[in-house]
Amino acid sequence: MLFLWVPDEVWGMLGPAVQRLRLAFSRGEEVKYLGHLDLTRLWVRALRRARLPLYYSHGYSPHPRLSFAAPLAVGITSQAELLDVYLSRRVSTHYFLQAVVPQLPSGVDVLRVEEVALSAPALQALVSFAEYQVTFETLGLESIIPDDPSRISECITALLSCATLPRERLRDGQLRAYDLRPLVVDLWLDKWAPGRATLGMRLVTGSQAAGRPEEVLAALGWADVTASFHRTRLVLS
Amino acid sequence: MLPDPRLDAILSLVTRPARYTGHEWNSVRQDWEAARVHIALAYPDIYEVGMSSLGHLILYDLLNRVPGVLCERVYAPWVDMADQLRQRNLPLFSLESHRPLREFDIIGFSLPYELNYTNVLEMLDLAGIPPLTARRGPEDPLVIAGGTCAYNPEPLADFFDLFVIGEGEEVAVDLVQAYWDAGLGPAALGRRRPHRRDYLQRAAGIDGVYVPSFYRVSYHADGRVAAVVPATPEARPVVTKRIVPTLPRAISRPVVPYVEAVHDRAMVEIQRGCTRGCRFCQAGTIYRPVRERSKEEVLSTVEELLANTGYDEVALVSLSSTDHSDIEGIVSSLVQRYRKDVLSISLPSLRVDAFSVRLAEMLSQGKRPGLTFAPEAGTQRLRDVINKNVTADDLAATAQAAFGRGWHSLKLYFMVGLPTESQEDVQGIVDLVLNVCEIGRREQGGRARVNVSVATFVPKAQTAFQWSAQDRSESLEAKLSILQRGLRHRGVHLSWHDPQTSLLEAVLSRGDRRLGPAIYRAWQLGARFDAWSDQFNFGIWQRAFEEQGLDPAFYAHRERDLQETLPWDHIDAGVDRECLQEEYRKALRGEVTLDCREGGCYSCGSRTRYGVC
Repeated sequence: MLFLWVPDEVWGMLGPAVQRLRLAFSRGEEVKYLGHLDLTRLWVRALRRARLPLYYSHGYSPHPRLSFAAPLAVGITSQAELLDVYLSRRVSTHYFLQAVVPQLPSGVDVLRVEEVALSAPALQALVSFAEYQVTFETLGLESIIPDDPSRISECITALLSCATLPRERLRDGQLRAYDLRPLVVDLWLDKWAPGRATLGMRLVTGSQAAGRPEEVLAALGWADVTASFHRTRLVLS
Repeated sequence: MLPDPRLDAILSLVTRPARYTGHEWNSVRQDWEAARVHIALAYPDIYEVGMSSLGHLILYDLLNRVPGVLCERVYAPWVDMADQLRQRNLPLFSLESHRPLREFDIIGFSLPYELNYTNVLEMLDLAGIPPLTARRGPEDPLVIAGGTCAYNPEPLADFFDLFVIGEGEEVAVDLVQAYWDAGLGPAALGRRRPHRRDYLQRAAGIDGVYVPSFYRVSYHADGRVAAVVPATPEARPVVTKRIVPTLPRAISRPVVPYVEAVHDRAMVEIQRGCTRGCRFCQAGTIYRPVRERSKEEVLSTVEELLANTGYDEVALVSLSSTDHSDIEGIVSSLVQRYRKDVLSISLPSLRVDAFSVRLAEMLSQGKRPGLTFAPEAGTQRLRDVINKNVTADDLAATAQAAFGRGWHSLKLYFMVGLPTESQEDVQGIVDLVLNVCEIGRREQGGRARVNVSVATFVPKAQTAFQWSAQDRSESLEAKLSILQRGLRHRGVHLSWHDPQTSLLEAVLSRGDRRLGPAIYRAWQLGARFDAWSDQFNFGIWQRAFEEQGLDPAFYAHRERDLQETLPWDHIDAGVDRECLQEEYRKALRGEVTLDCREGGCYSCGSRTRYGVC
């Protein structure tokens, strides 16, 4: 019984985007289960609460222009998310930070803000790699994962020496075969302590294809391990 | 941080795990140890539905402001999550502190809809709390409820310690006070919980509180209720609806969900109550009297809401928006104030008239997204029966105004199965819709659309039709086929509700205490999320009724005698039984009753009870 609409004369008043700010932010445990759209809404609402002059796209259903570098899968934390925000009025990065920080929920922290040229290429197009830390307990899982750093390294070397890593993934309700190997740029044992290991990974991440850290774990034969995934870095070209 | 790594393991396996993790903007996290009473507000449907409920958000806001009270939220976990919790033996937990529900002192359920009942049992069971009050021990929390379904609480009498009848804003605080007066603190501090009976005796003295275990129900041999009588001195013969005489300040800091809610927007209640007197409408009885919020308060609330939430949409909530005495002032001020912002304003529940279209046009500023009207019935005779005071001319004028001002689609709500309805009345729906369609075609050409949504009428307790029989499925099928044949027309789209769902709703909404075991049995057999068509299994319910020796038709399809004792007669919703009876008689004679704001007082009883109307 509800109907909605949007004031229209607004469009004439909104100028073009005049400024583009690039934010680096973290995503903590509190918000790691948000989907990409949830995270987008989180940002739009925080920016609106901060009364920052967001630039809205024109059209029937206007939305603020935000662009994320690389959507993060549900359940992964990060210290390296990138977001471009377009504004219809210029503000200093200092002002921007002061306004938005109090409006961010726990689990989201702005790490850096910098201005980039409006004409610069889209953020998504710039991302080439993402790095992850994957931490898991090996205690009690010795039958699957060796509790020994050199043998874990052997598993890694074996994976990296494969020419192909055929895998399947569900996409649009269909299982599709793909090769994971070209998406794995590097893989290493980052930290090790008895009973607990952390892998480091550098995976191809772009608009065409993106490697998933849990797939790499599965390719190592450790799909059943409960691991925590953390994005440490996005590499722009 | 999630305190329990076992939760982390299942959250990655379920759909939309952010439903269960909390931490939303404006959610309140209090020190558990410092609180003197711990309340979990439970909503027996999924997060996205619960977070759209203004009443739920109001109580959360209010209780967390009471010093010493900690209030958290919990929603029905979707079936995948429920199964995971069971498999891993994890108890249902609250969103804020992720504590098991069992650790709370009071679990307060909202009861918005009959088809959520099995979810109440499911949630309690997942929490490790016996669904039946009789099986709970001193360590278990109090389990209480309020909401529209509490106006006939009898089918749920076995599961709740007490019900709040009416508006919760003041009663909630009284119930907390009674908890303290009982001299007892939270179990978390090592002090014992109040002895349930002591507490309930105190609570029964609070206006608007109904303790079902303090009453005895007797039945006639044929199953009709003979009497509901107090079994303890504390129990009042009749429990009268509690209201707040003036609306408390509207909430301006609601929790903002991460997961998109069904109604994902700011809400400001501009008016409570409605005096139109539609005879089928339960809300029309239970939300009386009408209380308006002033334009100034609406405007300042909207301003605060936007600043505190970041929403880009606000809904002006009421049962009948166009009846607010200053709706035009509110709308024009909002449009004026926010014309430079990106903000959509929605106005639900519009009266069928050209004024509504004008309001919509003021708000829409050129856009034409969608307009909804509810003529409810197809002929003037039947609209008079249900007291929906709208004429075919009103509808035509509304359609003319809407299509003429640039809308090319309208949505119309109707009901079938109304008392005294004949096939001609249903044919009347076809005629009305085709006429609207013709107006649309004249104004908008081939792109004119009319979306018709048809619901099955469910007679509800505390309405003039509480004595009426619900239409049987054979008759409903025939009526739906008239609509399907008649509305197979270019530009018309017809949708209707599942009549089996409506049958169950009818049974539960006018049931007595004997339904408790049937609800329990249906849940044991696997019923949950009955409001969800992909989960609803009518076969389970048929089996449950059969095993309990109950006939659904007795509750749904039986016309009650006006002298019959109804299972909810000891619950007074604020309108006199004589008034409802008179409305029922007038309905059968096809006579209308004007809105008392226009046609004069017809002594519904509000003024004698509350001094206001």
